[in-house]
Amino acid sequence: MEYTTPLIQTKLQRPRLDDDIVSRPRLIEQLDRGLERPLTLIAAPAGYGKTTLAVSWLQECPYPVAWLSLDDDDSDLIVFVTYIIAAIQTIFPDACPQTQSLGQAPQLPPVDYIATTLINEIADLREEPTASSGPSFVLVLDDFHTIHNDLINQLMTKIVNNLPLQMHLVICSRIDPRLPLSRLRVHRQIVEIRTIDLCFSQDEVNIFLEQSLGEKQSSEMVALLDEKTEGWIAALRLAALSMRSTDDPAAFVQTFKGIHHNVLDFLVDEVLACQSQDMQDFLLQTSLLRRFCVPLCEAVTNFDLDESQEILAELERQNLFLVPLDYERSWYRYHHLFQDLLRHRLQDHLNSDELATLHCKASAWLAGNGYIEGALIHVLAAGDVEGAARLVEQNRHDTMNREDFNTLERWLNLLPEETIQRRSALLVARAWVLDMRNEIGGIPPLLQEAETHLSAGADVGAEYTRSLQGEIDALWSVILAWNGQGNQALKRALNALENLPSAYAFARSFAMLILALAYQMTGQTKTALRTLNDFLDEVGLPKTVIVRLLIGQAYIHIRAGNLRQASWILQQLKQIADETGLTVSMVIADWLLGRISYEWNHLETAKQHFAAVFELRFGGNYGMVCDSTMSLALTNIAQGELDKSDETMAALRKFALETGIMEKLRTFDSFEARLALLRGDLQPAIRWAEITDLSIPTGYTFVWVELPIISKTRVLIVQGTESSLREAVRLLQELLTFAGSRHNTYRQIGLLALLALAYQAQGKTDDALRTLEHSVRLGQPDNFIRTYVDMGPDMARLLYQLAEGGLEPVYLARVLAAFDESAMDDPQKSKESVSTTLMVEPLTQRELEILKLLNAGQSNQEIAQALVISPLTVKRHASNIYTKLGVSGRLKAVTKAKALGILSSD
Amino acid sequence: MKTDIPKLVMSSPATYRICVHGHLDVKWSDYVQGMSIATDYDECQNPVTTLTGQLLDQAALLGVLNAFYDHRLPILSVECLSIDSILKRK
Repeated sequence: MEYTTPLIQTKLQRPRLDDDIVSRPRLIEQLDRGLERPLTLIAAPAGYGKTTLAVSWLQECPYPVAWLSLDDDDSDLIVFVTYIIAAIQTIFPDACPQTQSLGQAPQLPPVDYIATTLINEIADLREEPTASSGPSFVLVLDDFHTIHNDLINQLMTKIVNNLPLQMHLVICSRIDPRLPLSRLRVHRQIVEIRTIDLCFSQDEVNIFLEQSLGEKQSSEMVALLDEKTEGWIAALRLAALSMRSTDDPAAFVQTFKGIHHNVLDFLVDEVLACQSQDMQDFLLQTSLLRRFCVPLCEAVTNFDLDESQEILAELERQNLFLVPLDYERSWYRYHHLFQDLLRHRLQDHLNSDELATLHCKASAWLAGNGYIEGALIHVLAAGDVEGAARLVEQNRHDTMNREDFNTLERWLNLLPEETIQRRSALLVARAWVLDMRNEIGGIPPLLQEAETHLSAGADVGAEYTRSLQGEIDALWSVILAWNGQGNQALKRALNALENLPSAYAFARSFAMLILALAYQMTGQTKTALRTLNDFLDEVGLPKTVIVRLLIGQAYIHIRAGNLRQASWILQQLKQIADETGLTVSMVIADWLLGRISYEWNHLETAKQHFAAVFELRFGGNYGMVCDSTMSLALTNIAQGELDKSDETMAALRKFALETGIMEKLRTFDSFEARLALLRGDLQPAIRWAEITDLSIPTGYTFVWVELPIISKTRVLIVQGTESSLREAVRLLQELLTFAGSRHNTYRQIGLLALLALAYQAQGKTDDALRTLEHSVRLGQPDNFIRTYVDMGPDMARLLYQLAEGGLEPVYLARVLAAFDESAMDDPQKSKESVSTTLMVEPLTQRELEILKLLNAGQSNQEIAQALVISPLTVKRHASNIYTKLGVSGRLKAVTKAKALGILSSD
Repeated sequence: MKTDIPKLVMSSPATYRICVHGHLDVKWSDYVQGMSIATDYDECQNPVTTLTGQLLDQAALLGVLNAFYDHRLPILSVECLSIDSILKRK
């Protein structure tokens, strides 16, 4: 559970039953019948015994029960979903891994998607039950009225409308949940237990009084209490308590008769009056705690551990609205209604300073025991905003090291805005949250503000100032690196690492990553890799840090054109991501492995990786998902499946709409233009290029599949006019200079090839060949193929000329063979367009002779005899022939040679 | 003969008229427990929506009001038009 917010386990425990409950067969039967429907709603005001009814029903229920007691903290979609899964996992420990991983997504996925994932994973939990066997389990959401979040309501509506048969849902709420109740009623999908059902009947009042007072009460007494309480159980219990503790029950009843309103207030006063002063103090002081254990009571009240323990035992014995939250009896809460009434009295008893002191005590204990959010709520209730700010500051690195930025963001949201603006550490915390959300633009103002505070000496402590400055430097290095300012990024990252203490593991690993990227950007690839390797050697690194360093290495290798090394590292990354369920990293691994496979022309493998990315699309970085899906569209086209590429693009547009990443639109449009070009549909591409004004990007240049400016040069080359070619050459030269200055070899390989095409179109064959040779020399070591193949027959001709000239014959034969396959796969292109104009690297005279003999069906031995050479030499020639033709055996060689017209097809 | 005027208690079904500031579209009909929805405009041309219908009990009433609260639709008035035949507790 290293990566998730610590959960409050007691919320997942079914409360225990009091000993004195009245059994209610009528309601139990109603509930049992309700199991045939997907949803049970128990709705009534506080104190009507909703929870008690649910617990006593489920004790006898044959199905496993997942219980979740909600409170105000859970009005956050991610927290809510996390707890629901945790509840389900109390029955099925491995349940819902995909939904769980969505909780770590860098952006909040659409509610519909979360709901669908959750519904599907619940449906997977056990085989479809038959109608007679009922659900696989029951999920209870108690105190649902505490939820005030429209996203959660949307989620629940979707779930309720599509409840899998595996789950029966029970909602207990003081008020009706915002679900389509009238529709559910019409379709008989809901069974309801409402106030009218929960009220004690006069018979039940009778039984209850007898049970709790130990003797039968007169019918007059029963009638009086029934009338006064209207069957409201909380009031009846208070009345019974008073009667039990008072010396003069008759007097109590007389007084009670005269009370016409605020029955409950009167009863609570009566009950308290019967308690010792100590007990009263304890009840009032602990009433401000949402839940409590003995040590927390000790911290808040005037009572020591033993006394607190004793009082709790006494409360439990007297059945004084104390609800044990776990079976070990370590955590308790009061019945909500009772707690509310106690709190009102507490506020009457204490002045605001005394009240604040109690809150502060509670906060201190909670903070000291790791319940930071609870501590924050109490310290804020005490009006100590500065204390709350300090609490966030002191604990934020724990959440950051866990990479739990949702929690950090929630904490920040609890604080007043002006407090955040005044404190550099909180501004820095917010900057990290933005960084993790990829909202880089908002970071610089925060850093500037934080630096102003620091230099004004607003924060005390040299050590602390140094660490903060380290974080600020780390964040600046991110900004500078993205702006393409490698040297400055390098400097900042080095400063950061010097100042960041080792406890800031997250910030340090981040600075280390940027440092390495900056080294590579400035041409120091070896140093970059060594930096990351040295850091990886440190023992005890959390998995999240290891993953980040591996991603850094992969980026560096890819940018440097080292696809093989990158591939190897990405395999490792994929394995770790798989083991740890880190979806973001999983998406990165599959995305880049797909890109590399595509470049190597392993189209099927590439397709699998891209499909895996799309599957996890909401859990990953949206920019990467878009890149991967565009690459999938390219793969579809490379495989000649034009319809599939349309489908892929439609899916991508839908995704962009769902996630609101329309800022990618510019990339989409240019990519569509590029696809049009690939299909030979020039007009839309040219129209796009004419209306689009683009400049050379100057930021961090990664290896994104689609850069609009590059697509524009593709269009300009195809247009082929004198001015368009001149413009293409100018743009490409500028792009090349920039990519070269940032040491982006991957990009250089493609740009050089495009420039060669442009030169060729201008008739400058020498320039074209020289430029292409440069590209080939960079692309050969790691087997770049698709970069060239996607540029079409003109590129094939140029490569053929280079091969003829003796450049990298084996590699170029492979590239040229890929052109050929791609033409064969693509019914839209004439087979001849490539095969006849383009041949693979020419065979030598001797190879041609041998090929003819192979065609004649002679064995190696026979050929050797015929040509008077050794069989070993025949074998070597044959293998050269296969390589040049890009095939794997003699039969295929002969077929292909015939297709190419090298052998006459007889 | 004395007519038994029912007393409104927590569990009474009752017919309510609720007015809120703003416009409720059709998707709301699922969430207001079958109440009828009519939108009109006040003298300043602000939309005012009136909902009328029977609600099962106070939990249902609060559920409807709460939905407005969650959706930031200010409530102008809540009026109990009639207390409907009360079901006796058994």
